[in-house]
Amino acid sequence: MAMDIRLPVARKRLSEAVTTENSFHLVAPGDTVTTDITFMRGHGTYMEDDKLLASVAGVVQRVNKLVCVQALKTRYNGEVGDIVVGRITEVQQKRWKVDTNARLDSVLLLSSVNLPGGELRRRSAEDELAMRSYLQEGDLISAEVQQVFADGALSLHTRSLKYGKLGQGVLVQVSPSLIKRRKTHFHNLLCGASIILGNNGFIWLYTTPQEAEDEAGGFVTNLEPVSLSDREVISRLKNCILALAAQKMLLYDTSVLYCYEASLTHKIKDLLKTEVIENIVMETRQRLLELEA
Amino acid sequence: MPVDSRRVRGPEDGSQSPALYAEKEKEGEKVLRVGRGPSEQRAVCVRAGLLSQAAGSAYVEVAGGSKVMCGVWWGGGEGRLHCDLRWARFSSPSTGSQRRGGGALLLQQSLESAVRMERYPRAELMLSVLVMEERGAALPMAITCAALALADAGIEMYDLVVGAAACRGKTGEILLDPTEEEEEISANMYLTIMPNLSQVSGLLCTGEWEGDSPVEAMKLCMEGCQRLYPLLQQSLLSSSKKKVPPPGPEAS
Amino acid sequence: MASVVLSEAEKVYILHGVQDDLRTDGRGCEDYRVIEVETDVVSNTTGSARVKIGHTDVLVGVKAEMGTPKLDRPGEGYVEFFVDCSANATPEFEGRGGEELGTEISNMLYKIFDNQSSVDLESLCILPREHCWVLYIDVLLLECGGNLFDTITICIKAALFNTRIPKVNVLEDDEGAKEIELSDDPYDCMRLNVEGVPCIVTLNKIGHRHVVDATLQEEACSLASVLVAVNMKGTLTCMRKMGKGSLDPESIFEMIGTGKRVAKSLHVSLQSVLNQEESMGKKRQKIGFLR
Repeated sequence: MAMDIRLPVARKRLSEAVTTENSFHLVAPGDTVTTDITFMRGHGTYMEDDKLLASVAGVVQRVNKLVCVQALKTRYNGEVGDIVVGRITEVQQKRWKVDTNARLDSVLLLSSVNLPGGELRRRSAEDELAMRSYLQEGDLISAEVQQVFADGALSLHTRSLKYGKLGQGVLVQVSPSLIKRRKTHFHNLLCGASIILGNNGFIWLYTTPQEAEDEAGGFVTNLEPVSLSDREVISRLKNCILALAAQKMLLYDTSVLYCYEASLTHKIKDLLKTEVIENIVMETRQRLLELEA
Repeated sequence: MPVDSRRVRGPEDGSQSPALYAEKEKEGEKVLRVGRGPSEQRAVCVRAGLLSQAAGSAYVEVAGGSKVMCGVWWGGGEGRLHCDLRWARFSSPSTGSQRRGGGALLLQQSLESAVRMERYPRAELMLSVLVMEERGAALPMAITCAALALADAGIEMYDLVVGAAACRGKTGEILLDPTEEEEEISANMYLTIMPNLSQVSGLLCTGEWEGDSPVEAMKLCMEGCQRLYPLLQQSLLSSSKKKVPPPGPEAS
Repeated sequence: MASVVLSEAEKVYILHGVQDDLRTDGRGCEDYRVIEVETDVVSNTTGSARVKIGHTDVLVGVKAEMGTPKLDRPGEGYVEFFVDCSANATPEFEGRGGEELGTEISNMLYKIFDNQSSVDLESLCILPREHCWVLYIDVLLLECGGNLFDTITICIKAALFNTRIPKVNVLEDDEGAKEIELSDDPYDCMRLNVEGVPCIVTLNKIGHRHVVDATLQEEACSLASVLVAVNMKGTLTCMRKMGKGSLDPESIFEMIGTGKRVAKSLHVSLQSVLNQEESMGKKRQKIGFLR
């Protein structure tokens, strides 16, 4: 039985000398981003008196002639092609409403999911009635963003075997800006667990499935107990991800793996303590810098 | 005519019961109980199906003790069980309101474990319990009464909920079914169980309980509940018999 | 209370984990998260404390004021509780939403403190039947991350430890009229004995086992829980079963045992941290709300 009561300690500021990248151009609402009118205006900016001003507090990003300001702590802003992990909030007539940590609930249309057995046909009235048997309120899914509606709501689809209802595992919620955009967001980590890094900040940890899933793909959830060793790996990963998020490090497969390896010297429950978090994140950062160099 | 649902509190100052100024008797070393043993309950009289207008009702009276009445109605809203527990202003000489806080919550939790609310997803049940006289251990009696009223209304339940109270004096002696005086000076426990399933559906315990006394008191309460159970079943069956229509002429 | 919705598979995962004594964050069934305690955070009060367990954050302020003793207890002071569920904690608490939870918590607090050993009420009496100290304990829920009751009672104990009630003298002049005089020295105070103050341990039943200090996800998997309030000496001052499910009497007996054991260790650790904080005196760097 462990009991750790302590006095609070001020959080240590990240040492700024560690970063080798160029300093970011940080702006607050109302700050001038640029006075050059040839730039195209992106999100987070507005024009006034021939000057481009920022409307959110964040980092200025320039891509060729497009300038935009990205806020650092926002709700998820979806782009087409993003992988997201979401939770079903409502079952409606021909669609499901999904919570993806965005401003509006995302939509998963009945026509955008795979039918059991991989059939390709028009959805009938029976399919509508059977919607609840497939996805209920509270279920978790992994999906891809198909399109963005005019009001900003996202339309998702699970038309591939790798997407669909998620089984046993742990969900970790972090800020969407900490997820690095990569080619793939589904990883089978070397430590023995699998991870889905949703662009919306929802990270799903689960055990690597032994054999390939059948064509039915995710309709029947496996409710058998997960082995203790797999469970330990998942718990350790969860604490590592929370540690990285607390120190504002970008999350991607390499950073998570390095953090996991750095944490092996500590007990899993010790990873909740602030000083241990600082140590392992420091070590991770060193290794990542060595990797880049 | 508009109904005044606020309770009339009485004048703010100047109206205080003379009982408050009376010299309290010195608390004796031992809680003297006259006429019954430490694990004996007072005799109970139970009737179901008293109110003609309600969907279900019940009345419980303890010999020389509390009197509780309960009625169940179907409301117009969504699937929920609304519980309302009141003590009549004339139920006891002192207000004792501090001690009664949390009674309605215990009632709600005890009944929620037993009532199959999933069978009534779109219906609202209104339950109203009135304690007409408080002579100690009225709260568990109120819960028993409410369960009976629900059963009388024909609502599906896993089992009847029966309640009992125990108290522990300063000497450490545990008494079942305390009177009001005994309750006032000792630590109290209210326990409600579902006797057939042997499951505890509600538990509230206040005051100082040292060592293993809470476990002993719980066991004593459970025995008390088991003894009361057949009586409740009898009263339900007898009230059901009255509701069954006489056999028609074509029955052979 | 704030709650999260979980899928069936997630609940099954948590349930099996608890059975193997390995929760999702690696803790065992009887382990608490890291608890941070700080006293004297609000300067306008007689005593204050702030406790943070995981994502749950509670602030308690104690104000001692002079009042008249209650009629049925003329030789004692008394304690009044008020719990405020701030809308900052979760959007569910906006407007009247937090009132129900606030009343439930304050009823529970009254019950825990309603006995002789918790707070020495006789020491709060200045003049029987006429003047006494009334302790107004205000609890403010800043953030809700599971396990509210434990955090609140730890915070109340820390705030009471921090409370410094000014000493008063009762002067009687020739006509027999009594006057109360506050001592001039601001450091001449009376401290409260917090040895009898109980702490709540919430035990949530998940599957066949019970866990201590449940997170919001674990609370969503548990149908019933038992709250036990135990003081430093191991006396149970209050016990309550919460939740819609029913419990086996055997499991309640086990939970009582676990609750007492865990509470004892909690009291010992808490007291040592409070003593440590006090011994640091002026040298202690006040963190407060800026971290």
